[in-house]
Parts: sequence; structure tokens; C-alpha cells
Amino acid sequence: MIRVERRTHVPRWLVWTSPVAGILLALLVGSALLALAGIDPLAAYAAIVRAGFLGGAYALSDTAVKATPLLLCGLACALAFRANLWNVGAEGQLLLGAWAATGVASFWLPGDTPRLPMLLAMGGAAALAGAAWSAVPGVLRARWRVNEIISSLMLVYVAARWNNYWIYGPWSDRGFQLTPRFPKTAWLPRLSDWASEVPAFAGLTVHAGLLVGLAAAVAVWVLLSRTGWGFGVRLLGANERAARYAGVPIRWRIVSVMALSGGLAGLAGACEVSGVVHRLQENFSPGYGFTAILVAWLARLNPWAVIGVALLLGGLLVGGREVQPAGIPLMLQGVVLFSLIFCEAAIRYRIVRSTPPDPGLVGGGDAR
Amino acid sequence: MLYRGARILLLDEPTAVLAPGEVEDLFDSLRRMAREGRAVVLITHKLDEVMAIADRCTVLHRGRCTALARPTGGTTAAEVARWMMGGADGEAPASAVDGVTPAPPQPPPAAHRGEAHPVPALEVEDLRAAREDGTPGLRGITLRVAPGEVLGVAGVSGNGQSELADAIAGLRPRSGGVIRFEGRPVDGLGVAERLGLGLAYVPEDRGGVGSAGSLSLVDNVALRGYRHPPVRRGPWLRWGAARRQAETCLRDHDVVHAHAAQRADQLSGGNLQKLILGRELGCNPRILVAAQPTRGLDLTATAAVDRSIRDERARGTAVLLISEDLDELERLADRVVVLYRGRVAGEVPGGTLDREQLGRWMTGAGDGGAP
Repeated sequence: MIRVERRTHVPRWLVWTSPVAGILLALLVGSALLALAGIDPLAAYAAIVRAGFLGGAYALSDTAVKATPLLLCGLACALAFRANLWNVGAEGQLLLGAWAATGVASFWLPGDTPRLPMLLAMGGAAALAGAAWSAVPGVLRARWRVNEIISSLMLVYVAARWNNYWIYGPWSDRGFQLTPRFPKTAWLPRLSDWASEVPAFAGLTVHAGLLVGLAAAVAVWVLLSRTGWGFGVRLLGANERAARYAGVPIRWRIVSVMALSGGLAGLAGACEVSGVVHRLQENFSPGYGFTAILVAWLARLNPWAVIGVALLLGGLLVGGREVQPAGIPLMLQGVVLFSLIFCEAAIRYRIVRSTPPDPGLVGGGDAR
Repeated sequence: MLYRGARILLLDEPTAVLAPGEVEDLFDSLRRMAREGRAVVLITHKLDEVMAIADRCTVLHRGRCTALARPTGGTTAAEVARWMMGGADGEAPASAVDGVTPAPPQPPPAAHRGEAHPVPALEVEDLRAAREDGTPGLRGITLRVAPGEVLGVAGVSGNGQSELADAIAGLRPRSGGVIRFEGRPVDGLGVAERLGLGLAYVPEDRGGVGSAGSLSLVDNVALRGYRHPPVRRGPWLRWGAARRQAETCLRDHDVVHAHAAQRADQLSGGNLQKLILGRELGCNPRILVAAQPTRGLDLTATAAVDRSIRDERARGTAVLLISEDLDELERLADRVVVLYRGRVAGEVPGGTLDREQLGRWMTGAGDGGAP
């Protein structure tokens, strides 16, 4: 007889199987859906890969640009998820970060502020704004056990409205639904800035935000695996009661993890407005903060893996732009997420062959 | 289940999540079902439930049946309590139910008697604390444990034992009273500070509180000491030092394991307990609180835990040993107090225990103290 039973523990080799199997399953399901829509799935996938990864320097540069906010928000999610805190509001924290960076660049600091202090002030303000935004669900969770999934998600919509108020109102550029363009000193350097010296850099829009993201990945890794604070975070994520027993100040740790997570997402917002858009406008983010949840999961909350997965999904976003209909990348993301959750659950079970139990024990009940 | 016409109803700790009023309702239905001719088997560790509802009861202790009794037919609560603790008299199997030869009870050295020491290592005065559900768990407990003394705490579980241990460890806020470590009040201090003052705590729930199952053995050995050198330097953790510390702890305490990086939940209960004890004793404590340290352990693991506690006593550590196992208390404790409904119902010297008397205290029947 064959039956399915729960594993008592998941072996190490299986742990990485789940994201890989999730992606393969997603490609399979995705191609079925594409075929149903009358599109040749292989051709669509090939176009995505070409546009996102194989299209030479431009394709890679575009992919890196999309990967930057995914990387920072993915780290934000991975950090919070490690503590068993489900901060799903990275999108809102990103929006608030973009708002604060815009305020610094266009309104609060004089336009002739030199580049370095300007950029540092933008980054600092954005990180603070993002941290404050995510500290709200953090405090609610720590003090009153309010579910942070719901509160952090709800605050995304508040953040979007908040930004719109400033974009449409006080910060509007001559009544248009965007803020004035930042002074040049508030732009993150891009490779194309050096096109006059290195002609090959012409048109490459990848900006210094990528370096910020890579540095953040290193920082998150060091924090989690090399510091006492990070050990407390991992304890909190593994077993809250054991963490309390270990003397971890649970409430403070929850608030600080949430704030740090929001700070990273806020930084992503600053990089996006400073490196790409150069102003604040509505819908400048195609939901980086939400895709980041997927990034963190696919990376199994490992900061190093977040880098790779962010590049992968960044490529998917770029590639998706090239193929019609435009819904494909979003659809694929959704399918990947579901496949991943399925595989995540599936590796906890195994199929065993067993001898049937003694019929005398099974059929003993009185079936009236 | 009942709608399907079951004739045998098996309930495992059904009242664990019920409020007192609901328990009465449940019991009413159970009595009705019994009258209707159905068989009801109720598994519980709450003595008053047994006395309230059972026609017959079987007492299990460490996987053996120690007694069969008829609560409605003259068996008293005190007798059942005694059997639950593995104690026995005439008709029930003797205390060597599971083959443990009880170590010869050691008479406590005079220097170890609580009164003889000027400053007790652990002092609890009129301690009050609430239970998880807000009802009073401790209603004024006063205890003193001298250095080098093992104070046993007996009682049927749920009478304040876990609240007492948690309150001493700093895991549960107290609502009144004082706790002192070596004469120093620790009430404002958190778990980490109390740890730093020399408190070791072996919690009752090994897997749920005492360890983080999904983390490695190295992590679990570092669990309580990671704030202090050699594992900590400034904000940094030194994993080399942590690994060496873990290997020493695992070797010295005979923790059977594959490698130090394996997950803690892959250890057997006994080995996990040895790890926890080893970790706690590795901090060179001056006070050890151990709650049900041998519950569910096999003989070798039990012997190892016993040995560790004896060694600590010899080293001059004050030990508060909370146990439901009278044999264990007999083997280890210099004095034994009985908790009943959050109060100390009585105290006896260690060695061979007067189980009759303890049983009366455990059920609130002692010294005219009606519940």
C-alpha cells in the first residue's frame, strides 16, 4: 500500500529542491496558460530570456536596474521573515522612502547642495521614513499582538494615498501629477554618466543603487550570522518562547527588526527616485515591494541568494516588457508564488510503501 | 463522533482548554453518556477531575500501571495522589516499578540545612503571580534554599509549580512578594540579568521553551550564554568559540549526536535534556531551578540528570528541584515542600518521605486545610 505521510524532518538536500521545483512547475503551468491564450510558450520564454539576460550589455543593465529595488526590498523581507515577522508592506515602506528622498532633494535642502551630502541625506531620510512606517506594525505587534501581516499590508495603501496627496497637491510641478525634476546633484551616478570617457557605457542606465543593494546584502548577512543581535533575531524566528528564555528582549527585538526591514525598503525607494525616475510620481513602482516577498521566499531568506533571485526576477520584469501581452510577467510571478508554496508544503511529506495495518484494528468500530 | 453512534468515548486531557464552567458542562454530558450505557475513558492528570467523575480509575506512572482504584468506592484523593507520584503501599506495586533501584537516600549534612545558612542563595517571600489565563497561580509562597541544598517541590501538576519556576527565572511577572538571589532582590531584573547573577534554569518544556528545534546544537548550546565571553566579543559572536563550547558540553554530558551542526529536534528527549542541563551548568551557576528534569526520560538519562544535580549540590549550588516524581525527590532532595493551589501546604525533611502525609497535603486534606 502506498500512502503519504509527514516527514519528521526535512533533509538538507531537499530544502533547495523546493524553489527549483517551484520555478520548474511554474514554467510548466505558465506554458499551459500561455498555450491556452494562443501564444507559443517556448517563443515567449525565449523572448523573455533574450530581453532580460542574453541581449548584451543593455539587457543586463536594464535587468540590474529592475533588480536593485527587488534586492533591497527582498533583503527587507528576508530579514523580517527570519524573525518570523511577516512584513508584507515593503511596498509601502518603499513609497514612503521615495517620498522622503524627494522631499530632501527638491524641497528641504537647497538645490546647490553638493552631491555626496545630498545623496547621503536622501538615503538617510528615506531609511528613516521607511523604518518609521514599518515600526507602526512592529509596535502594534509587539505591544498588542496585532497581526503584522494585515497592518503592514494596509499601510501600503495609506502610503500610496499619502504620496498622491503630495504629488497632486503641495509638491505638484505646475499642476502635473508629478514633482519637479531633482537637481542633478540628487541623481545617483549611472554608468552612462561616464559615456564620454568610456564609449561602451553609453546608454547603460544601471546606477549606484545596485552597489547600495549589494552592500546591504553583506550587511544583512553579517548582522544575522555574526552578531548577538542577529542571533536573537534567529532565535525569535525559530521559537519565540525559547528566545524569551534566552533573555532576548522580545518586544524591542520585534520593533527593531521591523524598523530595520522598513529602512531597507525605504532605501529602495530612495534609489528608485534618485537613480531612475529623478522625481516622485504616481505608480513609479510596479509593485517591487510585493515581488520582493517572492524574492525572499525563493532565496530561502538567505541574503546571498537574495542577490541572485533579485537579478533573476529583474530579468523576468525586463523580459516581460518585451513580450505581449504585458500580463505575462505578473501572471508568471503569481504562478511561481503558488508553485513555490505548493513545493514548500510538498517537501514536508513523503510517499511511503507500507504493509496495510491489521484489518482487525481497522474494522473494529461499530458502523451503525 | 456521538452522532455517529460511538459507544466508546476516549478523551485525552479534554479539560486542558476549557474554562471551569465548561468543565462542569462537559462532565454533565459525560455522566449522561455513561448512564446511557456508553463507555467513557478519560485521560487526565488532574486529580480533582478523577475524583469528581470517575467510577474506576487506573493510575499510570512512567508507563506502568501502578494502581486500580474506585474513587466512588472509598479510595481517597490522597491515595491516588501517592500512586500518581509512583509511591506505593501494600496493594500497589512497590516503588521499583520501572526497575530503578532507588539510591540510598542521603541524609542531608547539617551544614546544608536551610536554617543553618545566614544568607540563602535563593529566597522567595510571599510570592504571588498570575497564571497564563489571569487567575492566581501563586498565592503567597515563601521558600529558602541554602547553598549546597536541594529543595524539592512536590505536588500534583498545575498547583503553581511552573509559575514558580518561571517567576524565579524572570519569565513571568509577579504580582506581589520578593525574590532574592544571595540576599539581593531581583524583581526589576529581566531573564538575561538573572542569568548573569548565576541562575540556571532547566524549564519543564524541553522542546517548546528550553531549546529551538530548528536551530543547530551549537546554537542551542549558545542559547543562554551568547551574551557573555567567550562566545561574545563586543557586538560580535565568535562561532569558533561557540563550536568549541558546544563540543565540550556535548562530550562532557554524553549527548549522543551525529554532529554539532545537526538540528536540535533530531535529538531524543533524553539527549536534549542532557544538552540543556549541560548548557545551564556550563555557566557555573550558583542557583539551579530544574522543573520536571527527568519527566519522560529513560533510565540512563534519568541517572545522568540525577548525577548532574548531585554534582551541583556538592559544588555548593542551591537547587530548586520541582518534580511530580516522589522517587526522584526521595533520591535527591534535602527537604521537600508540597505545593497545593499556589501555596506551600507543608514541608518535610528529605530522605524517606512520609507519602501518607505528602498525599494529604497534595490534595488539600492536610492540617485541616480544606480547599
